[in-house]
Amino acid sequence: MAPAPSIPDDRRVLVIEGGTAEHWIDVATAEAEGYTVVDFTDDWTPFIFAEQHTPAGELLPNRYRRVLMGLANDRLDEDGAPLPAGQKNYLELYGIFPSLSVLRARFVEDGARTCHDVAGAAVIAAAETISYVSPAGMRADDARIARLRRELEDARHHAHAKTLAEFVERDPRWAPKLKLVEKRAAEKVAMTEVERRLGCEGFLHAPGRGRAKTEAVHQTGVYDDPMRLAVRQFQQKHMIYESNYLRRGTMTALGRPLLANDHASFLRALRERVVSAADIVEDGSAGGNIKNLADEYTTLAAEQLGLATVEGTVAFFHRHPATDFAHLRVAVKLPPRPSYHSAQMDLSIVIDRGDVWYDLPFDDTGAPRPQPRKKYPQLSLYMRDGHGQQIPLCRWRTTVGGWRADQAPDGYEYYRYKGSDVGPRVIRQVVAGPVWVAPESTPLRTLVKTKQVGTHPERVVNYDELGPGFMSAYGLIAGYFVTPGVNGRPDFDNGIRAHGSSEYLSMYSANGFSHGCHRLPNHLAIRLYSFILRHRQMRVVGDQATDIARQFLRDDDVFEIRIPSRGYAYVMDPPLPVNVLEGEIEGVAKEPILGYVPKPGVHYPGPPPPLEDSPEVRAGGVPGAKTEPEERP
Amino acid sequence: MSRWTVPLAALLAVGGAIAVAGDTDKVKISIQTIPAMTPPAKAEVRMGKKTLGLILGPRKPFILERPRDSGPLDLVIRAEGFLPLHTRAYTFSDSKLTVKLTRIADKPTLFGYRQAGPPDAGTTSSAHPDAGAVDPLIPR
Repeated sequence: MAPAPSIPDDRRVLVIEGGTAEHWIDVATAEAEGYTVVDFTDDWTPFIFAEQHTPAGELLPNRYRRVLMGLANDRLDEDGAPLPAGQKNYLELYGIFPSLSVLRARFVEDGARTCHDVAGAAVIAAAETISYVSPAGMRADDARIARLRRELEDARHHAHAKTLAEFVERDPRWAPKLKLVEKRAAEKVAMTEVERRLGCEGFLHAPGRGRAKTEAVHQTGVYDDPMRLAVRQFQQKHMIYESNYLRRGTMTALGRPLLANDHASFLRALRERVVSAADIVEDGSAGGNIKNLADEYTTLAAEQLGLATVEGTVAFFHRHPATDFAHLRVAVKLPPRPSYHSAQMDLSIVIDRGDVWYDLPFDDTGAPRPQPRKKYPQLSLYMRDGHGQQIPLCRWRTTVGGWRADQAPDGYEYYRYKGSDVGPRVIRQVVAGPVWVAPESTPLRTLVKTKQVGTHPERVVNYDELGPGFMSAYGLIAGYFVTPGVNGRPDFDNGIRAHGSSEYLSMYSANGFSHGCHRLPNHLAIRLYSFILRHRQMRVVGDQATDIARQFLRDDDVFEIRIPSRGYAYVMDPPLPVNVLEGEIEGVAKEPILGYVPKPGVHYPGPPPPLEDSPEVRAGGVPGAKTEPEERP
Repeated sequence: MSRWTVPLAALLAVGGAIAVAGDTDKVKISIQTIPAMTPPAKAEVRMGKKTLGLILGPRKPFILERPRDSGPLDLVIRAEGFLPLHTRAYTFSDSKLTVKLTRIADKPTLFGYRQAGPPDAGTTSSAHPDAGAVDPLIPR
């Protein structure tokens, strides 16, 4: 569609009537007529990474903004260096949604592919899940299933039954064995289909095709490393919160047409832009009378724009080439915001720690001691209404601290209980793209990683953990909990934050603990703080330049951490009240155990050293266990 | 002072300020060793397999030119008789990267050095890996 020549790019917004009839209007007219303007441009970022200015109009540059846009547009890698040709960033699970140009390219590419067929989808649906069997255990597992099948056949023969189904109906004691044998048979067929689908979509390479020389070769039918990595990439592309196995959510997506998956991605990206444009946080998680505005507004926007269906979205991208997303903004009519919304809302955060264990996680013999929880920690954003009533706007699972590995000054690792403080606090400072300054207690093994530098694998400081970045221990945004100072004294910072996190399963895991901080998925943390900052009195402080340099020895090499900035700060005045509820203390110990606790089975040169004390040592977010999920499905 | 912290006074302008409109398209990064630390006669600056240049002495830094805001550079600085140093330079703006090299004999002065202990000491992972949600709630 030709743009209206009379309205400059930066002033025009697109209105779509009846799903397809497009016309441009001036942005001021749109706003005056009650439209909400949703930014479809490729350089869109959430509010916290948007360009901010001083009251005098001077730009306060954010050094992570360029990287964030580059990641969303598949142009840059996590360091801000150019992304190698053909590589994609699948970062929705890390809080970064693909740009509209990237989504458009996916629609174009996948529309030409023939990876999906009804028969294959039926095979995947029939299996529902595929049990994980390690490559080393496959032969034994096959033998066990074959043995079970022979047992079943022998028993059927002796019972003079015509079929196994008839036999099991007569003697239901055999039903579990038959079910297992049939499940494994269905899984074998489904595995073939999964391999075909992942190969067709470019996630799993056939031997010798499209893979690096160093890449391991997938063995057909085996859940080996190449397969696991392919599944992980598929899950990350489609924002599937599952560990890297073929569980229900992953299998469902593998059975769906490619464009249906792309459309789901599009709707997720649209949701973030609508939530930002409408300036809402209510997503139905709080229950009660608070509506799910995130879904309601996204659905309305998609319907008005003709984007509620795969076909409509394909047609939209057909009408709009990638170049349109340099300037494209759309206007949608959404219901008025709730009456309780205002520029100055009486907001507060309440964190319920849920069930808490202080006991050691192992017994006298060193064997793990289970510490089950029925109630998990939750973070709620409350609003006080005109009648003084506290109303939750959203409520999400979060984490609290627990037993973690800690590096002591003697160079050895011990266990240490890293708990979450209880009681009233405030958040004065919110930092976008926060940098976690690793304290001395950080296990050094977590501070070094291998990275491809040019064509050469090189050991480097693990800046992923430090940030700024989506993998940072503080995620993409953090609110700093402090106890306000009284009588002119400064605030007391005990190192606890509520922050986004790349450990996207830890919030939903029975065994997920932090180092004291309260983690949220990055995209929810972004929504939370964007909403808070836009509904409270706050000041944009901007980039927190610093010149921290620290060295440490790893093997025979010295590594130097260099941190040029602590992130991009916003300060709320008055600060946001926070209350952390104690929760239910389980077990024998009713107080946290302080100090280092030797790890079972580890020999130390002497008694544990005394605990050092500083906000950074106490700070949560130590990435001690950023490993792939090891749990068997 | 902790062994963890490098003498900051000697480490100038780690990353510099952020570029603003009007700055040139390239940045200059001056890489040098700390004179007070008995520097080697010359040190090699490498990135991956590539040697970028040499620091020839206390007042003879190696100047590296890069496109502005083109991402950080992971460098290794090597000199005979010293431990290799892995460091990072940023491309936000012109900056000086002053590094302290450590003689091999001074290894025990570095943070992270530990006397040899019994085998496999302190190498096990955390008690509670953060992953493996069995039945995740799907947030939106």
